[in-house]
Amino acid sequence: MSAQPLSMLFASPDPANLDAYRAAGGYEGLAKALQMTPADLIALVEKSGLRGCGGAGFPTGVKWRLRGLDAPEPRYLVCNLDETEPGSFKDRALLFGAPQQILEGMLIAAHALGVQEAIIFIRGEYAAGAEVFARALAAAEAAGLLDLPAGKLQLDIHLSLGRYICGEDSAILNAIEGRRANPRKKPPHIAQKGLWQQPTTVNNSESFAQLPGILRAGVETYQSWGINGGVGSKLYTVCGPVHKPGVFELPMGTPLREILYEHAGGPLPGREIRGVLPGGASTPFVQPQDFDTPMHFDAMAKIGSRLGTGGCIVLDDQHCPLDFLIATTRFYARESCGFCTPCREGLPFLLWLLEKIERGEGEMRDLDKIETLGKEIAPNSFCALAPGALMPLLSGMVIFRDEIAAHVQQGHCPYTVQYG
Amino acid sequence: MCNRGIVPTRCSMAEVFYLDGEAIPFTPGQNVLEAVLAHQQESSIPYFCFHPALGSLGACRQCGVKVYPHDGKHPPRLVMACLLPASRDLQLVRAEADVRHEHQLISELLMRNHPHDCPICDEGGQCHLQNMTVASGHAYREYEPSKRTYQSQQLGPLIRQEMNRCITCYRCVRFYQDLAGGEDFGVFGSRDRVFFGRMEDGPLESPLAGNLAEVCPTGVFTDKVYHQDYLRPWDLEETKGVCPHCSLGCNTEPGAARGRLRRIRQRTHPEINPHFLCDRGRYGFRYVAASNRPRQAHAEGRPQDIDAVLDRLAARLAEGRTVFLGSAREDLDSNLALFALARVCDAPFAAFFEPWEEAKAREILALPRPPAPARIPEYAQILVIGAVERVAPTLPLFLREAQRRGAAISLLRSLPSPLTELACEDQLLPPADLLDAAWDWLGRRHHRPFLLLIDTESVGPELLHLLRREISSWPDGSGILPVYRQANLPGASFYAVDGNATRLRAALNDGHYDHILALGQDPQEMDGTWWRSCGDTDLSLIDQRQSLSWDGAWLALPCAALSERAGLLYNGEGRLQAVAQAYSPAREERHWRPELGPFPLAAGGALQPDALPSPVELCSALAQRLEVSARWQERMAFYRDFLLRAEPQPGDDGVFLPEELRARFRLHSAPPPRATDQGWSIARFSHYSEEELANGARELHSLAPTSAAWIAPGQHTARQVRLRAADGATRTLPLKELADMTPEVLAIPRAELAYLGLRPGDGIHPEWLD
Repeated sequence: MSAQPLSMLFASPDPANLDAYRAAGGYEGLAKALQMTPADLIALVEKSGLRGCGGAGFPTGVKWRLRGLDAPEPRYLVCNLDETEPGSFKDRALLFGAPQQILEGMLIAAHALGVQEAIIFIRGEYAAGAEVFARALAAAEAAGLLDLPAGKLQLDIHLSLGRYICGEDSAILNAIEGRRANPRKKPPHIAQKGLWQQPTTVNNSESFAQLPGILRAGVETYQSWGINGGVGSKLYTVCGPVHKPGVFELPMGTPLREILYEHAGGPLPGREIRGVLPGGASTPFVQPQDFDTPMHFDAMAKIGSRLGTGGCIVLDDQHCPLDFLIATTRFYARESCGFCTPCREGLPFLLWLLEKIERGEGEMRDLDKIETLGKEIAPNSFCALAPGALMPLLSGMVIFRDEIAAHVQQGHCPYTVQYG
Repeated sequence: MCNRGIVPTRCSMAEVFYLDGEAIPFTPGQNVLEAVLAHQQESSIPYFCFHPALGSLGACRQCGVKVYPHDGKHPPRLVMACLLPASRDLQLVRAEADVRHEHQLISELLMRNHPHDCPICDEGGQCHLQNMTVASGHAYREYEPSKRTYQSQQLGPLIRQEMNRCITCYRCVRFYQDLAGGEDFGVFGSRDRVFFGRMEDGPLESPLAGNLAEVCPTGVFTDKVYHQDYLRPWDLEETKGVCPHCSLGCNTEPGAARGRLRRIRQRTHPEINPHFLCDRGRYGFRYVAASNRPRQAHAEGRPQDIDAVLDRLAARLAEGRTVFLGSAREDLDSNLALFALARVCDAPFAAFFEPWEEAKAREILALPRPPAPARIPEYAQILVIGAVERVAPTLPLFLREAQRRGAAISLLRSLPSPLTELACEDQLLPPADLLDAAWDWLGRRHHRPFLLLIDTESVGPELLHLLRREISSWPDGSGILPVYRQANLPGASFYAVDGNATRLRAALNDGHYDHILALGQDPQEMDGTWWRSCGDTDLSLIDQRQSLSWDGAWLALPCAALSERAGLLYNGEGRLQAVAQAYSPAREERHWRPELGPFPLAAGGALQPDALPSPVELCSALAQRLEVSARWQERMAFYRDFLLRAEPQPGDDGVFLPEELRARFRLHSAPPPRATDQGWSIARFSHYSEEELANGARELHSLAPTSAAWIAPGQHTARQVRLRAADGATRTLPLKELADMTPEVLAIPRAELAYLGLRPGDGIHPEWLD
């Protein structure tokens, strides 16, 4: 049994190939799942300790249980593969490298949840990956794998037209319905009234891809793949100024230092890592003194950061942290859906303040304004976009306050002078 | 009264929560903001995206309040009042510094891109954004860059768009798409560049588009017609009006100043128009300023002053060869005054010139009290007959709400309808088959109360008669709500009891009478064939609009428009509502400095005529000249006492027609339908803007299509069609295709129907021309 259940076929020439996947143990998990009742299956997933891999880390089994087995029909299942989080590219790797695995996971979930219609929502830029998935789907369908006890699963591929907000679990439903992808008011929760006002479950593609491994290996083996208090296996990604940026399947709970320095090869020559956003751009900075923290949900929360998607963005000592914060804030200001006032108007306000400081035109009170405004935007906004946008900014404003203040004091960016 | 949704639902107040220590009563299901708005005259919580008809959205984040948990363990938290369900003993705080700060912050953010053009903004003085910004205490802007700009769109003659003022509250699009069902207006873009508009410039297609001006909390969408005659809102004198353009009787708030009527806004009547007004109701008033509105009396084409014309008219009445004609679009007192005069002169009187119309009016009056429009969503089964949305454009709002609540809506129609998407059953039928289809529907034995919504302009009296007679066997609570374009049809129908129209025509035909005195009704516009056959009858008109016969009338007396006098109108439910006089037209007094050149007409200095007399004043003047004043007054008082058990005041809920009066009209027969044995059948085509008075409203009328004959696509390749009346008169009309209408049906406008002497459902042999 592979301890790399997610990435075992990443190197295969044709990961959509059903036979190759079966040879590696594929669809054994589904076969086991189909012999269980939905209630038992949900209990098993809950017991496994699998937590949602989209960033929030909500226990998958609990999410399923709370939807209720008696939810009115039709019920829907949505696979969220709208991976737009800066710094995260694990779902892309899965889509291109393990489409059968995502599909198998969706079939297991469909059986557990009594769903007859499922949708995989794929980021528009991953159109080529959607074709890979379509091939995998066609092969599985031809082999009769979509025929579940409750009937044949209708699985549609929905290619996103592309906004960050489409990854929000209620905005994704609006997008699928052909509406404007604004987040929805909760309650009602999407588990009660989701897609077309019917009970809906939305899970990240990595969460689905984890399911075959759990069933195939059993809960105890699955849990033993994790270390340092983590459970299972996890796809981490690293990008930024390191030797070997990429996707790494490692035990959940691998210390951040090991990920950065061993697997990603450490910083470029002559540089040092100043900080890392550990779970995509919407997580607070982790500083070198915390690099020994195991990368799992609880440990990261303990040091005031988040595991998020496990997509690390590295900031080294030769790059201006203010420039880094401008890049993330600009992204979120651009990707705000325009629905709620604090996010729509507040993020461009912050961006203007940051750019003003970067141009050397800032004043010290602008730094305070960024902090006060940022603290007011986050709790008042409608969905998690603005709070996510503010996590790197607000933590960065504390950690790099001296560097940012230097822009004001010197009237220019100190890094430009030093490093060009 | 709970204010959620398009229609308020009744519920009882029981429990309270506390806002800054003040007990606020609420009803289960209400959110905190709704309860506060219902309780306080001026809400202490600022808000934007919430609207009583649209409900909560949670987008603007302005209405935050601090919730103190009961347990005392958890810290208080800020929650949006519009998303917080009201619950018993909830402890809320708005007055603390951090909550105030939050309100101020949101105002600051909303004002980031809002231009400071308040001095020239039409919304100034009635601007929700202005009020909330002042209330929240935001004054100084820290954001320095230039404000975002947009290219605004031309949205037609009724609504003006200035997108730069937008604060992105989403109210407009939620109203236009979700409530009004419009598809040509939406939301584009994202982040801080969200745009609300159409795909391209062009008039808004929804007949409810004018509501955008009221729904928008700031000056993005403003009333373009008001803009032409703009005066700051606080300079307007606003009165309590009732819309005179259809049978619903929506309540309005006319705003007038310096002798001119400048705008109409909706005024809530919870039973009739809880929130919205259609564009006919909002812009139809402009007929009072129509360039061809008659202001000069004439005798045989020669302009004369009113007294001279009244002298001649009185002399003619004294000959005793005059019949009197009232009008279903004139108010109750005007009809009573003319009726009393006819009685005093011992002359025939009818309120309808067409016996067919009179029979329908009688059937409408005989209906058991119809349900109020706002009750429509309470029905689980609704049958819609005809083009109700063209007659009363606010009805789809109620039907949409009914559908949301799960009602099964069935549609029987001849013309395309926006209601098809709401209907669970939709039949395209020629007008003559509507009755059979309705009968079949009734035959399904419904066990729950149901509602029939009938466009009485598309059907004959026989349909109303047969359906009405069945009402007693329907489940309790079932009813029929008729809709038509006359504002006071029941008020004019009291005189329809004896088949007066037929007798009036007979009196004219047999030569005993040779003069018609018509108030607000032109026989030529009612029945062209009859008119052409009776060339030697003189016609005297009293009217507020220029009808077809105006210039050729023997005598013509212009009268005050409905908004220029007070009056009483019976709507389609039989609800009598009082209308206050909206304004008194006056010559505008201005001190003009001659050195500045000629008086600038375009700048709003156009001279207004002095007030015209009301029909009652004209009747009174005639009675004086005939020296029957005392008897006329006595008859007036007698009929008034008989009809009015209680007299409503402007702004009241209204007084209902006494049931025993209705009962007098429950006759046991109706005229049989005309035989239709020919291939093509005739339907009435109408546009939502169409109504006798509103046709004179220039801006609104510019949206109506030109006169044509409409057929279903692919029915015929001809470009024109010639239609022949029974007397040989012909009419040639361009032929146009209309998607989704009944095959072998030719839909033509009312004026053409009347000219040809045709009715909906009649058969016809069209001559196709290239």
